[in-house]
Amino acid sequence: MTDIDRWLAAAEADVEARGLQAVKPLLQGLAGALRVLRAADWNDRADGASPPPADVERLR
Amino acid sequence: MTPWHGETIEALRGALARGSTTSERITEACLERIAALNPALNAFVTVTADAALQAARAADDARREGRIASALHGIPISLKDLIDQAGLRTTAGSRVRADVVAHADAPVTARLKAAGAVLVGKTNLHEFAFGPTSEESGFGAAHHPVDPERSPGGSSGGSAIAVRTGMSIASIGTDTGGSIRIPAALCGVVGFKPEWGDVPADGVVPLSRQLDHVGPLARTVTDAWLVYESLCGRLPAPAATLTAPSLKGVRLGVLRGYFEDRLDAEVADRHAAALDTLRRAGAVLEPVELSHAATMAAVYLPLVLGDAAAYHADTLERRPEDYTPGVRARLEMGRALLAEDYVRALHGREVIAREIERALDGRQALVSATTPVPAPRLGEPTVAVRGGSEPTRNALLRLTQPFNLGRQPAITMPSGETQDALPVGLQLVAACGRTQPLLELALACERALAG
Repeated sequence: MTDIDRWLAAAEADVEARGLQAVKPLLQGLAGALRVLRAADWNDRADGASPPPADVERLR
Repeated sequence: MTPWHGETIEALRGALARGSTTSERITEACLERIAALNPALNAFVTVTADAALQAARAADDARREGRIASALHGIPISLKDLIDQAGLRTTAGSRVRADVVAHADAPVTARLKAAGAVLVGKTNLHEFAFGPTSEESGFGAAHHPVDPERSPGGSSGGSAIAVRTGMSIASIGTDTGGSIRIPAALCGVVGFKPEWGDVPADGVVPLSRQLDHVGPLARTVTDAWLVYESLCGRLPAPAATLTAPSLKGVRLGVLRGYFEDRLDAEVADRHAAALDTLRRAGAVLEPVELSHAATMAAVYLPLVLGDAAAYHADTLERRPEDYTPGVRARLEMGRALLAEDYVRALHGREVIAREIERALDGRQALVSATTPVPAPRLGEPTVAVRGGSEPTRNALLRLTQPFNLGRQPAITMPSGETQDALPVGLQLVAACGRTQPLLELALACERALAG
């Protein structure tokens, strides 16, 4: 799984290289949504582990 | 002279049957409203005055010969400019498609024509239906009919303005996260999002095919039902009526938590008053919480972003400057999504759909406010809600998008106004497969709320 912080850094670097500064704050908002999504209780894990209970408000 | 433009389909079909008016006169009245109001409100991208008058005269001729296609025969209706009408451009509210002319009617357009409707033009929208305010349009922002400094909502903003002001008697919109219900609620009209798949979306520029719905905006629940029936290809008989059940003993699930925690104070007051009216009419109100409510936006976002990015990627590369800046930025954001997150969201959509269906088990409908805030001011990126601040886009979509994920039929109707005369909407949602009972219930609620 790509870590959200690493994904965000790569995505921000990409839009910056393409001169799309306006997209950066949107990506930061999307990162918050993806943290919530990844912490959702329906996600299966290959090793059988359960995702930890999510604190959705904190993850936003 | 009777202001025919301000009437309902129900009233107009009676007047037409009695010979009190003609389709030509009604159409002229709508076209006069467009000429008078559109320069300020910007509800229409294209007006087809000559073709509409020609169609109206043909409808009158057919009526005189006893050939009445349906309850919509001779009724002026507008189409959101996301929907193909042969020979006209379908701009999707974007300069990207400013010259794209449809070669064929979308199925919904063909069905309206078969029902005898008179098509008066194509309405303005949030560019590519990708926003809930209708301010980012390649053809200029649409303006709220009560306060032009405010947004009419979106993305079907022009359609809601047209119905509210009588520029057309009804309009056809689309709804991917609330784009029929949000502008209908903010403008004080009825908006109905059918169950996903009920009404064909072919010939409609997509935002997210798995979440897109096509449906009517109208002045009343009965009018919305008549248009919906036509969109489904079932020609409603000229005198067809919807029957309202008694509300006594009807079980309604009142959505709490996520759906009530962050409502504007005036919206909360009107919503509470509407619920009280339904309770006094005999409805049994039961609190309902959806355990995955707080994840719904996080599920919605990757789906709509991913689907929209796939559709727009090539055009974004070639003509980025032809998009409005905000829509371009959101589409570019979608291109950064990972496939693994898209798949998590696909799974989440199914989980949420099942949870909503379980909440409807044994209940006629779920009830909430349609939007947490009244019409926001144009250009404001955030709205104040309960002492906090929230992005305008997130706030407007918050209460409607769950039922695009769930694909249930959902309707909004006016439930009151703020002190500034800004409308507030009440949303009713039924289980999949329960559209007719939902519309009958909505009619009963509409009557109860009208006192």
